[in-house]
Amino acid sequence: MKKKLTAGDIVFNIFNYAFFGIFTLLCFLPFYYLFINTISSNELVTKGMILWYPKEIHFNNYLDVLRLRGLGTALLVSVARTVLGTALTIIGTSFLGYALTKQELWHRKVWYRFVVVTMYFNAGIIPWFINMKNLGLTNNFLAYILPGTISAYSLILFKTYVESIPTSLEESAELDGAGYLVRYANIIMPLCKPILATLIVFSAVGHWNNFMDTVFLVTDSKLYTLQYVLYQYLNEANSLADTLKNMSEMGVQVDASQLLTPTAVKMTISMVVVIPILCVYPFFQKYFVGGIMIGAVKG
Amino acid sequence: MKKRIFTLLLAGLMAAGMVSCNEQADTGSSTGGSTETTESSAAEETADTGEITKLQMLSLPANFSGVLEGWAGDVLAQEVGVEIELLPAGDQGEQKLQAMMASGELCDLVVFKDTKQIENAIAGDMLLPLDDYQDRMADVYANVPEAVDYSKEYLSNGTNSLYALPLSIKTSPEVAGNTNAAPLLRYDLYKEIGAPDINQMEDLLDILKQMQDLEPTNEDGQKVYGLSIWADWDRAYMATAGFAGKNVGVTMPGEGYPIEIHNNEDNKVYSITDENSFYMRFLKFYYDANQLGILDPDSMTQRFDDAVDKTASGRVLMMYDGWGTGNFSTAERENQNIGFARVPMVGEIAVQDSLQPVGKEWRISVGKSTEAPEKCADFLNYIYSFEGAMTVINGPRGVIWDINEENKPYILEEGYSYLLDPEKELPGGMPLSKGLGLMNCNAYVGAEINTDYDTPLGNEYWEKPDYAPEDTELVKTWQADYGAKDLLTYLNQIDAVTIAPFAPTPTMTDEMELISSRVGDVIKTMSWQMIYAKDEAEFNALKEEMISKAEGLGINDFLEWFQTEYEAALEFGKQYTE
Amino acid sequence: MDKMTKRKPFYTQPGFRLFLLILPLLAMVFIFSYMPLYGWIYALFDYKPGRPLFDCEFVGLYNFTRMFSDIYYFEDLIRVMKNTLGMSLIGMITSPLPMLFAVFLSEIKCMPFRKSAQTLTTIPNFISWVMVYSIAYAMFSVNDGFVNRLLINIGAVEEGINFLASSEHIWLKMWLWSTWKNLGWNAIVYIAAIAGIDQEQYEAAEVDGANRFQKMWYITIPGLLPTFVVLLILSVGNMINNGMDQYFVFQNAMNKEHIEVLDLYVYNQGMVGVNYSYSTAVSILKSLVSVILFMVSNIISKLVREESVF
Repeated sequence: MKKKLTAGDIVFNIFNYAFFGIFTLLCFLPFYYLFINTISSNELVTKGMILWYPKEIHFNNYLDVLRLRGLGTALLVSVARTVLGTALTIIGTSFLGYALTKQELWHRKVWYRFVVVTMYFNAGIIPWFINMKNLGLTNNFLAYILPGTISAYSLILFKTYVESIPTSLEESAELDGAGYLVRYANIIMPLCKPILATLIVFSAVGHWNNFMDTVFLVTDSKLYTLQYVLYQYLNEANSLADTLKNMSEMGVQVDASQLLTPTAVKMTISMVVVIPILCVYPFFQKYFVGGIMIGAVKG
Repeated sequence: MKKRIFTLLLAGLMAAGMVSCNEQADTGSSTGGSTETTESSAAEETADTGEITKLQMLSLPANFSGVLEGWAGDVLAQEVGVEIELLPAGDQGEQKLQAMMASGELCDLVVFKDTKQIENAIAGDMLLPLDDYQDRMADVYANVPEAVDYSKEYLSNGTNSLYALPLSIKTSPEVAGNTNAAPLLRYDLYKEIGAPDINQMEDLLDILKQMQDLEPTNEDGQKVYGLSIWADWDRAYMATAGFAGKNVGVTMPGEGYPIEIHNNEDNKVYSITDENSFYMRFLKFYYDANQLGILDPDSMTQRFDDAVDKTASGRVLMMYDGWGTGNFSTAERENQNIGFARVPMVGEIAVQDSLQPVGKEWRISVGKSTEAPEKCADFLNYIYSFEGAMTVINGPRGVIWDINEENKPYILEEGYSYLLDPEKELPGGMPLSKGLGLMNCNAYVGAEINTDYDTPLGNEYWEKPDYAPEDTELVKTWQADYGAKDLLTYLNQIDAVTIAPFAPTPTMTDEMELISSRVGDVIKTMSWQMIYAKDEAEFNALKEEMISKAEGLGINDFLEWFQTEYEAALEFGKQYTE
Repeated sequence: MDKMTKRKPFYTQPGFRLFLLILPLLAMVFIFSYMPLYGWIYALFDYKPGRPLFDCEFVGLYNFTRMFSDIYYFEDLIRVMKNTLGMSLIGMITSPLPMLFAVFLSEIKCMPFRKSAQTLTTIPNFISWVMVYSIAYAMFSVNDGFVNRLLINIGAVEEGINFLASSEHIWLKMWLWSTWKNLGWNAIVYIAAIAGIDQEQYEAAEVDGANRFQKMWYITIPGLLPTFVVLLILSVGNMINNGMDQYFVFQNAMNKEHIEVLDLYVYNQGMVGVNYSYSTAVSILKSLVSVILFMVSNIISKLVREESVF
């Protein structure tokens, strides 16, 4: 049922496409710029000669990063923590969120506040570390996934979404004698696909990018995550600066090594971090782009 | 209590004799009574059977993390029977240390950056007293007895045990070398404008202006600036001042101390906001430089890396130290007489770094919770042995260096190939730059004398064999112009250098630490505003404001405290140098 | 509920059984979020990490009173609060943007274009602020900046403009950077919410002859409002927590006066343990104020819209 476009529609479309075109370009261009810089000759990059297109293409920067020791294990750990951690966050948070929509829940308001308020305080690194240590969560894979079981922010989003779903569906199931867990799993979850996809993306990206917990809680190299290994490498490149400074304080004369350019390392690592996300992201996107909900609530 | 520590030091002097007695008493009791040593004899046995013990080390000054591999790993496995895994320090190092300290447990080895951390760790009973392992640390006790005594006396919270070993020990001054007592200038351009004498720091302004006019852009057509500095090292003031000060006889004792010591004025202490301070002169210098258009406008927003990159591509004409100048001054360029060289300011008295007979603020300790205290002691003993120290500084013996028939160390012919190419892999793996130096815990500086061979530890001070690479044209030109083989020799000839006296930098009390962080916050911000001020009036207004704020926040209290402590420290230092 | 309690003891009610089901989850929240709060006690001492707490001097509320009694602390606090609130306010005024972004994006009918716009606008969210600064430097530095080179090439200016070191319009610039980094990402929630809107409503509206704007105004936006209100209330609570990463990387001597927000101030002051107890005290106050702001905005929302987060 194609309709004729009005003049207003055309003007609107022009502006709309123009806006998104420009904004997308603004978001994307710096990464294009980074990318062409990582594959161009490092010397030309240092001189700032790479502006629009790559020159003297090489992939040494990427090869250097890929040669890092323990990259394979780290990748596995990262994937494991992202998958398990996200699964736990989603199940824990969505179930709690669902339970908190139930008026009959014993002291519902108290528990809701109890969870939401945690968004606004933070005890600081030292008490956090001691707490984790007392719980035996140092050098322990569980340290990556357990603390994220409940995310207050996601919980609120989920609860708000569930509240917008008509209660009729659940009521009929309740009359059939289905318990909370059954209703949650069979009725609520399927209806919540868009918000779940969103929360999965939020949580997975958070898990994937987090390395501060590794810095403080893990000394066993078998448990290093990918981000952490990359971060170490980045630090090493940056260390060039500090090393030079220390040496000169000690009266030793040294010169900046010609091969290690911190800028190249930084740019390469940024690309390495972003690329996997860009590969996985579109799979989730389909759940929240486009009206997959058509007719879902008809019952 | 700490406040008076340096006045107590005076009294401590008299007890010096007693200290050595105590030391013997300590060892007597420890070998007899300690259960720890007997308990861990099992661990000792496994070590003898060739098993490698893994030690975890948190080195705050280090920037590398992971297991030391390649030639460095081989050396440690063979000589000490350990494998060292460095925990990541870098940006998070201090926080990580704090978290570990708060939880009451440190790792096997820790390299601290300041005295307060050690005091806190001792107070929390987290450090292992090393006295019990004296028999395993013969080299430490034999080579650095003064440092050991000092540590027992002043780094033990009054318990007189050995908790920390000071690093970067230096008991003899450098006699030669291109030290940072003068800035590096583009020597080719400097000669082209007629090589005018630099009588005082301010003469550089006109010289750099002329040089910049001569070469307004580099080979790639990028704009050249006389000066390019950066802000990311600043703590209590602009860190560049600390390097610039050395050229004109002023020492800035530490980046957190808003204080300067005028070594050329009988070691008088000034506050950096004093009307006559070097720091104010430094700010005026950079303000003038900006007015003349020879200061890189990116200075405030760029980082050290950026400045190094610029220097390397010939866009900067002066640097206070080697940062990037070596990348520009390639052998090829230097042989065409182009490149950087140290140009002394003949009218100023430069200052040469002081001796460090009891090391600097960086110190290494063993965590009490370690499961292998013997191995930690062995490790310490190795880095304090001269053989070990030479390996840390120069690389592995037999590959880089060896001892000749006259009982002197020398660089092997093969060794030069590794020294000249920092990325070339050594036998065993990893280049020279990725070796033992990554721990950043050198027991001695390179100029320290190895009494076994009566030669400094670092190879730059050794006699050169015939096959050593020849000097470049630029170096030869410089030597001909100044009639000396290097900067320090020249400065000594014209009597334009003074050695800073040894005095341990006073440890800030909690109160002083607070003042320094608050004063520093104001100073480092306003300094940059002054440099980039539009005109003299704005410069002066900002200066007045900075001084009055700093005074309001207690910089004069800090000065007074420092003066007292420093005087005591100077007095204390004399016992080591006289 | 009242009737129920009369009939059965509370522990046999379904509500209590549900509570038992979520109890392990609540326990997790307690363990990981509440237990570390004992660390707040450090604010009452002159604490130095490493020293046993009770060896440290007990200073009572000194760390709190000092914020107001010391003129320099107080002046700083005023300035910092001005920046914090100023920038938060700009953020709040522009908070409908992600919603509008999602609404207008969904008006794009060309699927490949829509999908790529949606994906590509989220990438800036994946890189750290440190990296953003590197990009900013690459784009805007005086000598090497892409923008300055372009301006000089086309003859618009003679000397490069020092964008990064200028102290003008800092709040606005910071807002632009955070919009660049977060807009696409923040829109995801709304995009998901749009997907959840019942399509029948649109069909019905079309039958009634509603045009595109009317559908947006009467169907899409009301469908998104609950999410929007919730997020707005949450952001009121976060008014004084604008984080420090962004401001930390962009701060320099010229713009510090206008860029220093509360979180950055706490960091700059308490730099690695020098002033640990003082910064704990500030962050306690910060938490309390946040919770109060959150509650107040919640109450207002309850009065105005009759819906609330709590």
